[in-house]
Amino acid sequence: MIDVVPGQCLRAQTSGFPAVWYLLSRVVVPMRSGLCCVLIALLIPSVAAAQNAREDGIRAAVAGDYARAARILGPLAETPKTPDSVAAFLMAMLYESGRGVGRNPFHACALYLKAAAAPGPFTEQAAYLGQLMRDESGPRGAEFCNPDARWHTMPAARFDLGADHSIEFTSDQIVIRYRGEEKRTMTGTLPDMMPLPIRYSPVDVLQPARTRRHFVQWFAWWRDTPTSWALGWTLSEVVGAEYVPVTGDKGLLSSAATEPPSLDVATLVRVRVSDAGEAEWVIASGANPRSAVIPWRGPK
Amino acid sequence: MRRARVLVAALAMVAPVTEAVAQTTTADGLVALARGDYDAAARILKPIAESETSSDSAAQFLMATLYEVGRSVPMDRLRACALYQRAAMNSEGPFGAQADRLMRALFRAHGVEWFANCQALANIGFDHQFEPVTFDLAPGHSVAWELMGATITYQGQTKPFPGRLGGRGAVFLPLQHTALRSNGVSPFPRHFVEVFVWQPANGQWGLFWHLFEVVRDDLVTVAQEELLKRSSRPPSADAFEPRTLVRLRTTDAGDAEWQILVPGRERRETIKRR
Repeated sequence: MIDVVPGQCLRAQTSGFPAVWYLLSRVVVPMRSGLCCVLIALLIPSVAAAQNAREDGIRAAVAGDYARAARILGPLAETPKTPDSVAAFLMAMLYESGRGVGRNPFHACALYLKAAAAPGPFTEQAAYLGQLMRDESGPRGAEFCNPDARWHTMPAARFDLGADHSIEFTSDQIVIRYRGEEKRTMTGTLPDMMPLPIRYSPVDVLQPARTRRHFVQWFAWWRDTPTSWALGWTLSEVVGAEYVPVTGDKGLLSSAATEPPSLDVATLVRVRVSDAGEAEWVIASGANPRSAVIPWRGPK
Repeated sequence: MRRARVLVAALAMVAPVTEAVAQTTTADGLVALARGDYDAAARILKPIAESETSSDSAAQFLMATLYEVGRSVPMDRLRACALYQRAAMNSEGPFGAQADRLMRALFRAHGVEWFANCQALANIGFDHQFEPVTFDLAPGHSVAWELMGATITYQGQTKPFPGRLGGRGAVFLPLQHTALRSNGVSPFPRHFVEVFVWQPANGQWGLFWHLFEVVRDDLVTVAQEELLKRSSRPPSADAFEPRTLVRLRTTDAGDAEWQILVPGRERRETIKRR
């Protein structure tokens, strides 16, 4: 599933700065006292609200209500340019341990570096943990452990494939249930990757036997350069309790737009029955239209 | 009448505040940390984190971060390491998992010997009051005691005797060295070291006495006894004299002897020469 994204660029770390003091020092102080008071009065409620939210998130984290903590602290940790360093540190812990969020060590690593870049009570610990995780990530660590990246969670989905046969996607796992067996595979997103909804494509084939085959397609936009997006695609088949990768493409499409364009992926790629009665995938448009038969992986 | 109303109003204002103070929690400590009030954070978290009965891995982790960099407490990496170790006991929670990584970082930075002291501190606790001491017994002959055990230096060689004398929550009294002359049997005095340690168990405190003799380059265990039990926390070292409970002396025959003086349990025993 994480068959993606070479060539991501590592950009400079965000230099975090508490929003309140930044605004007060850069905007309010040079102004006249009357206007200053008005601005402070306008700022205080939002600052107080943010602090209250943070306090709620902190209390939830300590109380072990990690899902609630993540809901509150996640946005504070990911605030562009002025992330809350405490929220970033706590969220990094949650992503690393998979509590309240899907486990994602790359995201955890990025959040530690984010927390380390802003002054706060955990600056030193965050710097150490971030660097350690980056080192442990191997040669691609610097790419994936990117504090400037935006992170999106895997879209949740569940498909019933037949009697006592289903596949479920959570934020960090693929769970296949088949005849009482349950098989779990770790998965997750990478930085600056925007996953699209997962597609389930059942195909009733005639060859080599008359049966239904179960295919899953996963599309995601990812940053191939700092100024462009590429659309990645993977095709997998569910065979019994197994999740079997079939093929993929890192760049079905590209876009230089600031945000990835919306599109109907069904017009781009299809999984269908060929004239010979076998399963095949077809890339119908884009830079490199093509098709191929999907080999049979079930019992001979 | 007016004064009484003011008093009632004042009490009504004070009561919730004192109640809130009394119920401060780990979350309050983390909130204080987050707003940069490190003094308040340390004040709240220290008693929770360092309590011998605590298994609050979040408080232990947070307090360790303060000791590690010296925020509002003196920088003390050994104590930080010990608190990380205690927090890491709960590896299920996010604080415990990270505590384990940070503890290993300190281990890598400071080495095996230092880390052994970290473990000892984590196991014994933070209020042990143990004071490392070296007793000079003769020229070139000494015994040094630390929390992790003793080391004898004799004729230019050092020999370690690792071993802790206290469990979790132990509180030590100052170690005592006694040299006893044996009235003509030998021109050299015999050297004894006594360790007195209060040990909590099942809601009670027991005072344990360990008697060792330093024989050239060897450390010989002579006796160990539980001298006292009490239900309340033990008195400070200044306010307690263990010599009222046990003593060492030379008998008229020239032998070394220990005596337990605890009322109802009095007994004595000659210390055989090794």
